[in-house]
Amino acid sequence: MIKTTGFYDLCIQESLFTSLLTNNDLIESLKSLHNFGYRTIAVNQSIDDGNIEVGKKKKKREPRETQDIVPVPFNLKRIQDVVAQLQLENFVVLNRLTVFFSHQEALHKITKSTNYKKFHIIAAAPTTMPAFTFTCTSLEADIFSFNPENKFNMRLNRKHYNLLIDRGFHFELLYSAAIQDSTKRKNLIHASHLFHAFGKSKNIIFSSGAENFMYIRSPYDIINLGFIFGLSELQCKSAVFHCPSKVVLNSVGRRHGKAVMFVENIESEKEDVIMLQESEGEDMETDQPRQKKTKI
Amino acid sequence: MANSFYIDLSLKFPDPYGSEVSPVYFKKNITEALCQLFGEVSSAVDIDLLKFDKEGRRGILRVPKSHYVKLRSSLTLASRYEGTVCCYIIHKVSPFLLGLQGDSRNYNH
Repeated sequence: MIKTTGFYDLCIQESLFTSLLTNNDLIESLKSLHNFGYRTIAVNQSIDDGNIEVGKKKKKREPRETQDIVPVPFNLKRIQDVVAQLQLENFVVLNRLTVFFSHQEALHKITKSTNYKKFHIIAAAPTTMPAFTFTCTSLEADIFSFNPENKFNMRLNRKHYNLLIDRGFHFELLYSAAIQDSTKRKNLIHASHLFHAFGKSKNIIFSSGAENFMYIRSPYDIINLGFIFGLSELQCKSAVFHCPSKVVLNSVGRRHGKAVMFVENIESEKEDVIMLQESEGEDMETDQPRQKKTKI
Repeated sequence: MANSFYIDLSLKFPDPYGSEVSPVYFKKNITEALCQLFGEVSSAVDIDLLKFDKEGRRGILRVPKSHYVKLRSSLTLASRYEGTVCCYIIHKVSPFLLGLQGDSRNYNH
């Protein structure tokens, strides 16, 4: 079970961490993230469904080659080592995957991939209307995202919005795009006002989406910034605190099937290895045995 | 209740030894940021730079209560200082100048 506390930034691009070559840079940036008040961050990797079709063609030519479409999750070892070294309390780092897709066929391949299951959080970013309706009806993910570079071109309506909320989705706004240039800012404000019009800005989360450390702002700045995105004072706070924490909780639920129950033996003096069992009911035979985990 | 807010903020560059910042340019950059996001009328509001430390690029601003949210959000979205990337870090905000002296947010038991 992942225990997380606020504040949250559930989208920091992988490139931000890969660009920090020396350990000192990494230490500095993690320190300032901690000083800002962030306690849970997620390293984001994205895949586009346009690239996968190229992969498909390749496979037809060379049927032996079994390459996974989904990238291997970013190795958090280096970050976690630094966190342990700095003795930052309650600082959690997660993996997140953003899937940009225009057809549901390609999506099927992605969800069946083995790497897909290794990610903690999954964000869906449909680019066409059929893909959007598919997301509303049957896709299992945690976050509904979109690319602020393009105009928000979905025909949103109240029914779809509420459908997504009922299925535990949260709507994401990437604020670093708003800092970078005014077109992205316009798109972002447009989208957030649509969310306000159709769903009263329910279940909105803010995350940075930053590729450079200079584009990360403190959570209190973001709470204030929420006003121009049409959120109320309370919604602003929950957009960086309560809603992302629900995202993390929901993601645990999604990864483990219908019912989640962790049975842990806390008395460590009797047994060295703490066994963690899950009772899954009917889901047991359909899912993989990797759901039985050993955790300390 | 006080009519204005006091903001303790500093300007940060990716390169720690970046260009020198004078109080006039600091204020100009803030007004520009406000102008960029909210236009001429909003940027015409009385903002005062009470103190400025050149070395640390840190200063104290006074802003009318009615324009606090606007100013703060434009500081959040500001990313340029004379063509270079920068960011504003807001350390503390208080409706009283004395409130900047200390708060309970960083208090450790």
